[in-house]
Amino acid sequence: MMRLVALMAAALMAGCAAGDAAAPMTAAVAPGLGAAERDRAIALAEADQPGGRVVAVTSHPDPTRRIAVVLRYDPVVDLTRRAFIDVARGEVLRRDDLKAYPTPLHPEEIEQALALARRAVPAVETAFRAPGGPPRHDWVNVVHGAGPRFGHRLVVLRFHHRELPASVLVDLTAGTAVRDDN
Amino acid sequence: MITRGLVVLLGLFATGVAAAQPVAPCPTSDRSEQYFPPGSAPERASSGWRIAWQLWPATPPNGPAAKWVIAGAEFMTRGHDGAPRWLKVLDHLHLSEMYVPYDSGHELFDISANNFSFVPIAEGTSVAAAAPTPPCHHRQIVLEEVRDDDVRWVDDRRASQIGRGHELVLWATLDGGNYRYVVRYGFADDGSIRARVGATASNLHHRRRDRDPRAEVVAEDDIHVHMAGWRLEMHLGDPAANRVTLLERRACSDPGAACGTERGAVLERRTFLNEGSAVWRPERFGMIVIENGAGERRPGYTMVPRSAGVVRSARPFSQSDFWVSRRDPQALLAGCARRIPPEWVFIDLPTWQSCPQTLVGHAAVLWHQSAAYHWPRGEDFGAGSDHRDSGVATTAWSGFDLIPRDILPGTPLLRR
Repeated sequence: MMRLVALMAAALMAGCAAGDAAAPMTAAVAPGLGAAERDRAIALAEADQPGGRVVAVTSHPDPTRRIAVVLRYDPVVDLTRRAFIDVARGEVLRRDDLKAYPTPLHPEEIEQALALARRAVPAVETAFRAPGGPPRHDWVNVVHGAGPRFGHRLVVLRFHHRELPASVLVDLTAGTAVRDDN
Repeated sequence: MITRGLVVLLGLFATGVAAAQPVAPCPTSDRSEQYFPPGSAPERASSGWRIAWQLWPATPPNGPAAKWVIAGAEFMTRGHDGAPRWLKVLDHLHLSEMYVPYDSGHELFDISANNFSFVPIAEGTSVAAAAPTPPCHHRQIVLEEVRDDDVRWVDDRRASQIGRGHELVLWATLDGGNYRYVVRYGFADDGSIRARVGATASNLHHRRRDRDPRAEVVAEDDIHVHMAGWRLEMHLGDPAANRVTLLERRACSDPGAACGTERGAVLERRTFLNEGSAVWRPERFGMIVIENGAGERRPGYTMVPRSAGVVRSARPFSQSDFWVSRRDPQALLAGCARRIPPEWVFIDLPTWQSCPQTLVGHAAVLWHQSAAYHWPRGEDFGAGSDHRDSGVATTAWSGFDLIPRDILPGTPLLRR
């Protein structure tokens, strides 16, 4: 009896392996968008719904279609506008207005954050004017999903300089900058 | 002019390791093949793995971040007749999101909202000399090692003989601003797969020492959670024939448990017939099993969470720990908004599942959150310093295991 069970199990295992012989090793994924596809997707998204700055255009991984995902941030209404575009057909498949969505920053927003920090925190401005150039710094994109900063466009600037606060929280929506170093 | 380039990529230095082996380029790129026991020729090996992956670059200028995708994994074992049997286990596995909610209210989405990339392996990187086969690297990004995997079993019938395991480990490090995320996949000789992500590097803030140690409520801005959002597709011979089921041990003292009077507990099964989600209940040993076929013996894999806890925030995606979606959803459903195949973004899962579709006869995608909690401590900082740049936080891991079920013909490594 045990032997019979073992034989049946072996047969099932063999079937499993045999059915798998033709499976491709690597999953098919749509190649990235070309420049022309990217431009076309942006134009279609903006024609469908104007407003905001383009912050990212990604390609949908579905290999059966050419779908672009266009993300724009509109500071007038503090919303992320997302559009799914069928690039080949020139069709807007879907669009969403998203509040407090983790949307990448536009380069101009980072410049704006830095200007606000320099204006609001004197030590930052002093360090930027000091000989030797700007202090070493970087930034982190931050969101609040609840509370008084819900949906605001936020940047944490991090300074690697002994004379400066560790971080400055810039609220681009409110136009404020405050020390964020505990 | 601010650029990410101002963030110096620290790289990976395995310091303090005596007699370490230098890392050389691997013989293949983006593909690994390993047989067990280590050093075995393929025709003599008892088991083995073939792995393929892809590196998807970050989207310019500021994100989303890069992704490292396991794009196929095949496991070889031997049947009763000694013949090798290959089974494609995975079609796809990657870290889709790293959500970092701070106690201060800050939320970071290190993958969706930033342009982080995988960091190159620093010159001089080395690994322990005890590795049974030489380590190597792929494109200076992915490190490949074979490691001892501890005691696989102890045989009570044979003088407590020990079966010692090995695993092929692939790992790479994602830049996360002040953080570095070590993404690691282990493919073991017993067919198990271990997915882990470890958070390390410098804190966002300096250390504060002026808190009242007697206070019952600690309100430190730097306390945070690293919630990893994983996405995977199992293959198992025929993905459309896979069934995804939540398993939970229900104690009979638990109200609502369907027990007989003499039992202590029962194993409850809830198969996902439609797209949906489930909460992980560690008190019920909650796990997901993905089984192929409908017979009595259904080869499959069990997903076991390896998490210190779970994240619950105002974000809808954080309200469940397992999500199951269709790989090829219908574009249009009566009564539903127009739908397209869901983008591969963890945080959008609740949106895409507002019109759940049937999973019967369709390949499924499994999503899982794992989390590590970071309460900063003195060891995160340099000696005598409270400055965040003076030290690094040691790695905190989370992830999950995929454990084969009725895949191997018997106990791995055991010869009787």
